Amino acid sequence: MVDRAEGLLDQIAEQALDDDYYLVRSDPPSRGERLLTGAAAACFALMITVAAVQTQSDRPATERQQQALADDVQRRQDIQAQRTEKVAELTSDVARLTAAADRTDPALQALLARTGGAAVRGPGITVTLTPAADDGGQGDVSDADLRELTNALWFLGAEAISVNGRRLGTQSSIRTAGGAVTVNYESISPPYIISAIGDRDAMQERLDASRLGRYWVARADRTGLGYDVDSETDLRMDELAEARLRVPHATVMEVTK
Amino acid sequence: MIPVIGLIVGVGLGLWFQPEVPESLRPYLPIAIIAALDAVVGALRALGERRFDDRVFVISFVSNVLIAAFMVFLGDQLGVGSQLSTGVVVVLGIRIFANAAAIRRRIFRA
Repeated sequence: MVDRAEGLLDQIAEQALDDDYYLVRSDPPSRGERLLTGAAAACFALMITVAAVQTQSDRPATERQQQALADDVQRRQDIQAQRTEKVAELTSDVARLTAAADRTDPALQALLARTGGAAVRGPGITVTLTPAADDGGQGDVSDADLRELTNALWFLGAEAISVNGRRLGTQSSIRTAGGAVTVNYESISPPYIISAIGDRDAMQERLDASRLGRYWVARADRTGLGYDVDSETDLRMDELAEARLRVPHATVMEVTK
Repeated sequence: MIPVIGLIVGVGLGLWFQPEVPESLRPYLPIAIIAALDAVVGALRALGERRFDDRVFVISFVSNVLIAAFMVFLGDQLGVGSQLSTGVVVVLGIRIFANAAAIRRRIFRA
């Protein structure tokens, strides 16, 4: 009937029609056989219809699922936006409350005033030292002299001290570098003015009565350097620079008050 | 005439009852349809060539559907269900196109 093709696929194409159709049958088809053909046709149509109906009815489910997912995404984006907003709100609250705490909390204010974290003003005394000579002798004023005097003023009741406008805090230093006295690593030049805020009358009395006060009066008489203690009604001091307030390693263990 | 009535009855039944295909049978339905289509197109070609035989059609129809379904089932069991389905579709597709081409040549003489 047909030539045997070379390739498998060619063979399939050549023998597309079932070989049985080529067998010649003499007897005409019976009625039962024709009904079976009808049944097969019905079966074919049924299968296609069922598959089509099934796909059609599955589609809404698929779409519903997609819609649900999209809704979910939308809802969560809304939640995220809400929370971002909330974060911004709370951040500004924190900033506001921190500022309010700075203004109102007396304990914090006292702490800032004592440690040099805030600018302060108040009554106090100033001690002015004017060196008589620049020879390193008794007429000169050294970093050790300034340290001794500031320590004495803390002891006599000073609440805040500055030297030539440099505020003293917990991390401050007074030392000599390159022939000049430095406070907080900044050079200052004479005359040296030590300002101390506190009970001015008490501080002045105690200083005059102390051994150190008497020593300085005697030293001034002897060498001709200037030593003046003045009472001031309104002294002003800046806060310390941020670099002198930083505590990168120490953390508070327990707040006791 | 009887086959045409059968087609109409089949579509009617499908639309009327809208049966839910069980989940376990779903993979077999598309392949069974392709196999049945192959038998139907072959029958149409035989009809045109005046050599149509009801017995041959019914037997090829049933065996095509059953064998196609069985091959998909076998592929699923072997873990290569989609590859085997593709193979079945390719072979049946070639046959369908070849038969359709024969019908076309007969009708249009081209």
